[in-house]
Amino acid sequence: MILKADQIAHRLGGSTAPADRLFIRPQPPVDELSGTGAASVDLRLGTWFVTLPRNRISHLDIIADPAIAEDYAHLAKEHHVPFSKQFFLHPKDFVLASTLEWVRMPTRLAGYLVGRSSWGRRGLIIATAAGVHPGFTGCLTLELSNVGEVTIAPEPGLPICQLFLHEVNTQSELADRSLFLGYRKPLIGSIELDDIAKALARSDVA
Amino acid sequence: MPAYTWAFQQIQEYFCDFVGTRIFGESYFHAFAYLLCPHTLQQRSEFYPNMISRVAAQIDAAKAYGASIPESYQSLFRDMLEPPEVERHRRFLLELADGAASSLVPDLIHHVDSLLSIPGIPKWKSPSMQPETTPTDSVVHESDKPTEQMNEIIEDFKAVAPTQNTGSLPNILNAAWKARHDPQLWIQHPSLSKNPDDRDRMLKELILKSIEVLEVESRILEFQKEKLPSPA
Repeated sequence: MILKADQIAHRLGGSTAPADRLFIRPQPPVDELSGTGAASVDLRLGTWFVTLPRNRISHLDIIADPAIAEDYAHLAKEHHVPFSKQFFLHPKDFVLASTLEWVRMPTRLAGYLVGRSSWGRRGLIIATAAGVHPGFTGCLTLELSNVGEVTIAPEPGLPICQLFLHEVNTQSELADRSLFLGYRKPLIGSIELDDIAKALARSDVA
Repeated sequence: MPAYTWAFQQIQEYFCDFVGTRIFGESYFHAFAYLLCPHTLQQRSEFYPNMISRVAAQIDAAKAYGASIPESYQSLFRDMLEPPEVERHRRFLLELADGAASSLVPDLIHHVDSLLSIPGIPKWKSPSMQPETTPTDSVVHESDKPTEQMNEIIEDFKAVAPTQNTGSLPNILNAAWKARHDPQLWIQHPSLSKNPDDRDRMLKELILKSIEVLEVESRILEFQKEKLPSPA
């Protein structure tokens, strides 16, 4: 069941039991959120960006060269854009960003993040790691891409995406995932091959 | 002239300590012990007060400003070596400088308090350390119950979430140091409590995000003030 905005607002309240409490910081105004009648909460663009510049790597073939994805990630450059400044995203540019809000999910909630269609219609596509797992804590990484014909200059603080939340139908406590999470900046993350992927890989490199 | 120059430089150090104490309260002492103090077992520099005098002056300042002092703070420090006996002239000049600088400490503590009261920087009001002197123009810290506010911030950190509505940077920093020294902080999160590096990394992220949240709150407040119609 997807949570309505007033239910989300209730989860943000201090009266909720700590285990069931949802943290979104900076917290959206609870009164305004309750009155929207929506089924999501808007999240804003944060102040950290990561770019992956053009380089000498011709292509990423992680089957043949598992280390190449890490090498590519090491080329990433971090950029801090203060409030009231802009980040220029030219046509065909791709950048990682993070949400301004730090989200701490209780163990009984999961969610998914989607871009706002009003930005998409202007060429700014916000693809993201859609799933937000129970117990997640940190800022969410966004993948921004300008597929339009005009440069777009978003500023930190702009509402850029929305978080939908739903309850997880389980009574069991989830594993402690905190070790892997809890970042303010966009994360590139690693690509790991499991045994099935290795078994299905091209025979010349497997 | 060297004695005058050394005394002048030492007074600057005292001044900076008092400004740090007046603005940041107890967190300044933690930062001083952790990072700022000159860590050397060698001979002291003439430009710095020796450690025992310096720390004693910091504690006087804390008492005057109502800031609390970390437990066993003084025991973290010891004096650095004075110049050797054979350098009698230098020792004499340094004694003059030390004496001149330390004689100005009470006035300097009061001067810093007055100076920082002008822009309205709030005064500390530690429950365990009430100010001994209360200048008439001083402002009391916004929170009447600083311990409760600290606890609220630490509760947010325990939930692995940044804090909000803290009102000031010193509140975040003071709570952050308390959280750092609390071995029970993440007892509910074994993956964080096991490894000190992970624990420090996470705490750093939470503190920096909390500071950004404070900036967002301040900007919203300023914006709302500007939107209010000015009185006719």
